Amino acid sequence: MVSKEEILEGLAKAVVEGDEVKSEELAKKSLEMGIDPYEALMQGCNKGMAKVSDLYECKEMFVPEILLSADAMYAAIDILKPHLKIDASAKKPAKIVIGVAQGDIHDIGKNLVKMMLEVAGFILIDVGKDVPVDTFVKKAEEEDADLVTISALMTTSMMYMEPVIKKLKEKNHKAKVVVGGAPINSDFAKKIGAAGYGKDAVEAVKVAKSLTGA
Amino acid sequence: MIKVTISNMNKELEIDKINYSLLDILNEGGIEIESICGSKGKCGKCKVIVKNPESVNEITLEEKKSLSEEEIKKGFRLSCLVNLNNNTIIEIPDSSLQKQLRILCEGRSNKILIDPIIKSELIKVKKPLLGNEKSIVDLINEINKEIISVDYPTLKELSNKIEYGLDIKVVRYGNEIIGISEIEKNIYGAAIDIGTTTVVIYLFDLEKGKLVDIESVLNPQVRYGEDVVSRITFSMKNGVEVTNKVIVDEINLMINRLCNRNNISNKSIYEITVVGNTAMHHIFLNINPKTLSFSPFTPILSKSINLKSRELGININPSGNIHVLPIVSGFVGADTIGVLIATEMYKNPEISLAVDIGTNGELVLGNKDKMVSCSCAAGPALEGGHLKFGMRASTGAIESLYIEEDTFNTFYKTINNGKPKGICGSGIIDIVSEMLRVGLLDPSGKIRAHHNERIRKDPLNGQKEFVIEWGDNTEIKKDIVITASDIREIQLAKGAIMTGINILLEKSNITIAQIENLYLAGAFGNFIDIKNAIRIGLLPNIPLDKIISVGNAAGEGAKISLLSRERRMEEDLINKKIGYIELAAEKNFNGEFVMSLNFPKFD
Repeated sequence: MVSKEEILEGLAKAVVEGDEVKSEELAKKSLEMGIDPYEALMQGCNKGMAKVSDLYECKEMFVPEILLSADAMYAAIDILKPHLKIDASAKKPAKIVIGVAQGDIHDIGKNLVKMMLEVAGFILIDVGKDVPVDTFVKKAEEEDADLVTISALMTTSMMYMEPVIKKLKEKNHKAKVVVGGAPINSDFAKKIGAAGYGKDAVEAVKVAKSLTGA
Repeated sequence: MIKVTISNMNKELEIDKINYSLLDILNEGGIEIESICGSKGKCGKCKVIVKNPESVNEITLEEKKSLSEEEIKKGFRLSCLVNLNNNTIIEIPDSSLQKQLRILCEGRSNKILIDPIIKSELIKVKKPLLGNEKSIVDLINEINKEIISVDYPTLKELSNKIEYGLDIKVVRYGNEIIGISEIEKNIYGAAIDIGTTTVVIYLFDLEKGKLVDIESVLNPQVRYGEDVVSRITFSMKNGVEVTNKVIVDEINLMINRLCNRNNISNKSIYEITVVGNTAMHHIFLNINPKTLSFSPFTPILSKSINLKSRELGININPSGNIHVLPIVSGFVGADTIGVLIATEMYKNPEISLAVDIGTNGELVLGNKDKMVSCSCAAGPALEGGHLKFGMRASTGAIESLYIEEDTFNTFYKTINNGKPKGICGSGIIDIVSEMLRVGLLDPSGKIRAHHNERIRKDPLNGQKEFVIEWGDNTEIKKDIVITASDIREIQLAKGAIMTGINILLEKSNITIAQIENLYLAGAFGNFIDIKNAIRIGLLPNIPLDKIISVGNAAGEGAKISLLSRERRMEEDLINKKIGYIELAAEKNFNGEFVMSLNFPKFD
């Protein structure tokens, strides 16, 4: 008979290894054994993904493996989710609008950041790529977003970040803006008045957490 | 007026524009500093030591990331992020200075019929009779019906040179006379390849069809950023006039040197043909490259264009023709058309793939019936950019390398046998390939753990690295290493190229096995080890005898355009025949790209 710890550890390991079949199997098993699905989520999936994020930070893992890990994690989540008890007293997760700046159609980085933020428990509203300034602002208003995250790969698209920040400020909207992407650095972020900058997906999560108090 | 004293070079610069960065000031003052990120504080190459820190802005966050604590203590700064408030004393470490660069000058010339569009001919105008109402131009037209007009500066010359009953040597561009040459002197033309990094001019004797001399320099626009996009951004912010002037001035200096060396007059050069990527093309034409900066990256013009040299301020004969070859799209330029002209793949039934690897890689796949092209944002990693010890191909760069199995000892060659300073493109490909071969690297790109002192972990960021040479033996007195981050950068770069190749193949319904010729263009093709390029997945795995390094084929295209009237006429036809695919807009781009990141599995 396997223990609860072994199941949870196995689930975390399956996520790290990107083994979708295994993670799905272990998620089912955890339900059969009566393990609290919330615990399975936190001690299995999230723990695994936290490890993935550490490994990514020191470049031991790279984009293809992370995507496999994400698949493994989502497979488990799909099974656990219907069984989660909704906790009315729990704090509502923060909402984040995410997209690629105007003129730019490169969105692999944005997708990666989106996934990591989702894993970290945020609610993501993806506005896609080549997104006009006003769309970011409108979406932030409609969704009552806490954060707006904008990415750009091309230096020419960087200039469409500052107007989003300005317009949100003009409207006194609470959403803070976080920017990222290959050509961007923290000095640029500071200069345009962004609330934060993440050099990669892992850092983006840290920044988002600190800005939303999550 | 502010003074910058460079204490270790015995040099002083005076400037009045204090809103310039120290890097710009130094470059303007003729001190060429290494910088490849476009003054973003990212590459960490432009280090200087500020002796009186109170005279400049405070150290920025970005610099704190790039510099070690010890360096900060010693007053090191990144000159691109330093602004001066007062007279400043600095020291420039040797490693920040650009060393002599190695640039590819000679491509592969295949046979063409020498029949330049610019031609000279002797014309004898008899003394007109009194009462003849015709002009000299009319009389010339009577002698040769093909000649219809005389360009304005030549009209002035005609007045001085005409002597009735004697031969004069006129220079023709089509139906127009564009100059009068001394009879015993030959007429000349030049082909120019404006690369993002280098500019090469080939001077030709148009009467003999022979190459006279070559001149090549680093593109002076490099100070406004290493890659095309930074140049576009700079031109948008500061006006295209700035970037245009820099390149035109440089070309004029180069032409002067060529003329002096070969004892000819600037006025005896009657035509220049020009290739360059679309951004370089627009900037050379003094057209703001603004529309190239945002999706769908549309160029202002794509057909070839002919201008008078005086319209662009190019210092050759004022009536001289400037012929700029056509471009394909915003990211596939006249340089690619040059590659096609040189390889003739647009005429052959066999399927060819042309690969021009650079910060932006350009690919063309097809044959005489159909061709498709694309541009891949490979980034500068394959040329040494963004890597901890990456550098351009200059003295002291590790250019090839071998790793001994089991011991992991390295054997390498540096450019000009200099003491190692860093790693250039060809060295990088060798290192990665060798690490894969000896099992230091997983196909996923992870550095494997081994009990060997050359594999270690950077305690600061937890990243593994492989020591290529110990500090005792290097010019920079530091261990030269390749880090886990470096490997990831290389994966992104080669993944971008391979994604382009795969998508072109897929779109054209062609398999790798059907490729009969793979033309490798650019400096890269000449210097890299092709076997290693295949091993790391930068090039598809096809038999080596099908891969042909064509050298600077872009420049070759400009030469052919200069020397062959027939081939020049084909340029705009190629332009019509070739399609363009915007990779990032392809549905399967992200998936293909992620799949292309891993290294191929061999053995």
